[in-house]
This record gives sequence, structure tokens and C-alpha cells, in this order.
Amino acid sequence: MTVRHVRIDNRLVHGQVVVTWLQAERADTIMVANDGIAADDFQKTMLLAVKPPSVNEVILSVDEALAYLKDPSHANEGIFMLVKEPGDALRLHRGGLETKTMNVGNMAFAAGSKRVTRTVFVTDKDVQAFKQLHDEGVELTARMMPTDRRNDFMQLLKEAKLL
Amino acid sequence: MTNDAVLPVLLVGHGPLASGLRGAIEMIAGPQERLDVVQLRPEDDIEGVSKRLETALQKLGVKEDGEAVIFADLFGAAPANAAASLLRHRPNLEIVAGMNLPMLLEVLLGREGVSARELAEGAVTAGRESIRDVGEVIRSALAAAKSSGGVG
Repeated sequence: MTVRHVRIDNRLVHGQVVVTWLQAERADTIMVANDGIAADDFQKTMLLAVKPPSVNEVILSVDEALAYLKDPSHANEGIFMLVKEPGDALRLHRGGLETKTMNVGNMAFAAGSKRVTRTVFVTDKDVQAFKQLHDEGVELTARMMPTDRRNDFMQLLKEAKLL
Repeated sequence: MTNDAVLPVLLVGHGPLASGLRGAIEMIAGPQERLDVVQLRPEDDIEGVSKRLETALQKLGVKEDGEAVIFADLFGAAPANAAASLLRHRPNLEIVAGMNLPMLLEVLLGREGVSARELAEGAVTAGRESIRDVGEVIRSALAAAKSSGGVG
């Protein structure tokens, strides 16, 4: 398996991803790993119907995503992986996703969340998951665009006094 | 930092449309170089808009025989006509009316080493292909999933 990029972004597949990231990471497969969407036939059908024509897209639960990545028949795919929240990223990491870096895209404001950057808001639960990912050796960056500097996301959490 | 190989582009439209489009482009694709915006305000005449377009081209370093592309919002309306009037002394200017977000994203991200003519043609094709009937797309996908007994 070649996971070219893991993006934590609660908009999942959206303009920035489709227009700039897929090309920048030379990805040919979008993987959405989300239990809720994988169990919702309407959302699944809708997302697949509006996917960019030039790439494959698979929508799987977190467990199915791990199984997919272990299947040798997908070895040649260049996967751009999207998860909605750091908790799912942590499940993937602990389930054997061998990715050293994960990138934080957009995380919208939610009840009780605190601001990290203009586009990233985190809850206490999110902070815990980020901390565990970091402690288990995953480098966390915060890049909206492929051209953005590789900001250290843990440093941003510290600057926001959330660590 | 200006890269001279990047073809200069202007957006012109009624009121805040062009600057709104630029905001949307930069939200999706990040800051863009050699891109400027001109507005038609309610009190403007066409000559005034032409002058502002001309000034913007000069600021971008486009000589009279130089290449650039102006995108206007509506064919036959004041912003597009103001751009068209520049063709009198700027033979290598291209103007595309009916600008939309997908068209602009498509061409702005591939501006290096492209002629104004090629960019204009690419824009027209991309713009036409970008218009999709979402309701129809989703309803037929749902019908196909139902008849095949599930989502793949």
C-alpha cells in the first residue's frame, strides 16, 4: 500500500483537496475512512457520484480501511486518505497504518471547541487524540495548501495554550 | 515575487463579483500571482472601467503588444465591453465572458508557458464542462445503486 497523504479534515473531499492536493501528492485514489458515512448509503452514493472523474474513490469504515490497505491487490494505488477527526486517525495508526506524518486541514468550530488557527478548532477529546498520535511517533503538520510551510501542529496547540 | 512566465489575468465584473471570485479562488487554491480585479460600480461609465483595466494591465507589466487574459462576468455587458474596447490598441489581449469559478481554477493553476489564446480556449471548454445538474446526477446514482442492490 502507498498512502501518500493522510489529511484530518472535517469537510473530507472538498475544493482544496480536489483542486490542489491530489495532484501535488500524485494520488490516484481517494479514501474516506469514516464509520458514519460508510454506513449511510445515501451519503456514500452522493459522494461517489460527485467525485473527480480522474481518480478512484472508496468510502470505508475505519476497520474496512485498514483491511483495504493490507490487501496486496491495492498495492499499486497512490492513496490520499481523509478522516474527519483525530480520533479516527489514532484508530488507523493503532490499527497498523504505517504513516509517519499526518496533516491537519480544516476542523470547523463545534460546541466546546477552542481555536488553534483561523480554520482549526479542537475539543478536549481532539487534543487528547493528537497528543497520543504525537507520543506514538506520528508527526503532525497543519497545511491547508500543498505550498504551505510544514507547520508543527503540536507547536500550534502549545501556542494556543491547549497543551 | 513575480514570475514573468505566468500569464497575467484580470477579472472584471458587476459590483463585488470579481473580487468575490478571487476570494473563492484563493480560499481553494491559495494566493495567486499576477491576478488583479476591476469592479464596475453603479456610477461608472464604460470608459472609466476601460481605464482601470488598462492601468491594471500596466501594473502587471503587460506591454501594448503583450499577452494577457481578461475574464468578464457577462457577454455584452459593460465590464466585458470595457475589456473589449482595449482590443483597439492591444491586439494580443484575450477576453472571455461568462466567467465562473471552475473555469478560473482550471486556467489559473496552469498559466506557466501558456499563450493567452490557449488559455482563453481552455477556459471556454472548462467553463462549459463545469456546469452540471447535481440533482439529476445524484438521483440517477441513487436509482442505479437501488437497482443493483447496494452501493459498491
